[in-house]
Amino acid sequence: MREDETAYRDFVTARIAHLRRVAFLVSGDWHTAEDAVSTALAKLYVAWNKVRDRERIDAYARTMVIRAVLDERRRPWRREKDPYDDTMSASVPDRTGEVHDRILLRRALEALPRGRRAVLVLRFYEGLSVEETAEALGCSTGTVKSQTARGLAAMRDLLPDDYLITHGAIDG
Amino acid sequence: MADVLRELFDEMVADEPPLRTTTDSAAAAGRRLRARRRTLWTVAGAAAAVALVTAVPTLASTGRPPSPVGPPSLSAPVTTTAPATPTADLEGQVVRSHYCPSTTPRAQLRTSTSDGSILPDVERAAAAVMAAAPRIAPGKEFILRVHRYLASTEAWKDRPQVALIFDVGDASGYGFLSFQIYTEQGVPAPDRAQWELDGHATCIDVQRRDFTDGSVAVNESDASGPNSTKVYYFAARGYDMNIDALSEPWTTSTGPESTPTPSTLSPRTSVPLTVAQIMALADVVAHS
Repeated sequence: MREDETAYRDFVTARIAHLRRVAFLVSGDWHTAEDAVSTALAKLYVAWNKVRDRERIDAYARTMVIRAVLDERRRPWRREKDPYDDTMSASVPDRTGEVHDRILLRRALEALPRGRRAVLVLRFYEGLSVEETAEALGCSTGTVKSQTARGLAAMRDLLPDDYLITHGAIDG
Repeated sequence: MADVLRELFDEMVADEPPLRTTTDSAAAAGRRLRARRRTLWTVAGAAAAVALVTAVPTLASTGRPPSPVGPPSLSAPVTTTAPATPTADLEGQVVRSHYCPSTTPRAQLRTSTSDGSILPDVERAAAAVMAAAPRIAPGKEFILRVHRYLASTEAWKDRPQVALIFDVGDASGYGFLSFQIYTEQGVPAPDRAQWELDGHATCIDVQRRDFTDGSVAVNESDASGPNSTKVYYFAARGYDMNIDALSEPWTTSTGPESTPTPSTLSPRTSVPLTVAQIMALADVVAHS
């Protein structure tokens, strides 16, 4: 029992910051991300003894966090918040060109539905395969492929050509 | 494009704020959750046993369910027990459809959110719900738990909100009904509803009611579950309601408070109100 508690604590200490980053990229809001990670880690504590394959605990926790973010809109007293409010803009250092690009990109990402954003985050931030992403989201590989394609296409549509050329995403 | 995305993700998390959750707080939350689940199972089991013992003889003798048993008195709760009068045809006013969101990217919703003066008056809104409850949800007991105006909260700084929370139940146990009401001015209610519906990646089942004043209420299948129902009400007057009905009684951990206080009421196995009833109660609040 005490060993389990120690192992849980070691895992949380090592992975909580990364899990919160993943939650933030899917939700677009640090408050929501922190809440989702707290919720997921509490559930993980309860389920810790039931996870037999400890090598997969990271994937298990990540799945719980992603689902907590996607379930966030089911909870009372929560609603998606515009992450591009004045508070966030004010925290960005004044590097005019970079800031402009960054805001464009963030807005393009924010325009995607959360589920599609989750697919992109798992594929391109976490580096998961199509199969691993499907397992994490509890959907088919076909859904992951189609959501990835639609997400990338939507991002391309929303970004100006000069940005894509500059960053090598399309030929000039 | 994949490389651009990787760069974007790395840049987005570069300015992360300090963590509030610690290893200690995560473990403590886990212990609380485990204890709560054990308590819930015990309470639900006991409630089911009591309901079975009391309901069977009562039904056998009168043919009607027993009257709801009121909760222990808290801080002067307002209660009303509704008579078992026929329900108006609320269900027929809700339109059901299978909605597939637009494939074009969703634009930002540009609304003004700072004017709290247009929000419903908390006293009048609470009283209106209590008065309408017997008509809209006959047989259900409503207990007012929270009716507050919040000028600013930690998550929504300088964004006014109205909080209305009721425990709602009967002999089968209690759930709660929560209204989170906030200003969204500058975009017509049907457009705000459309924006909400288009925020999905896949097709969903939708229940929708369009009110005569231009307000719109929607329930999306992916935002509700067996023990929770969510309804958004987009008021023509320029505010939205995020409404939840749950199968557990209210505790202070849900809502504007942060210190959890367990409820003394028994939970239910299902949500105490239908989507149509929730939409009708939202309209009562909007016109209070």
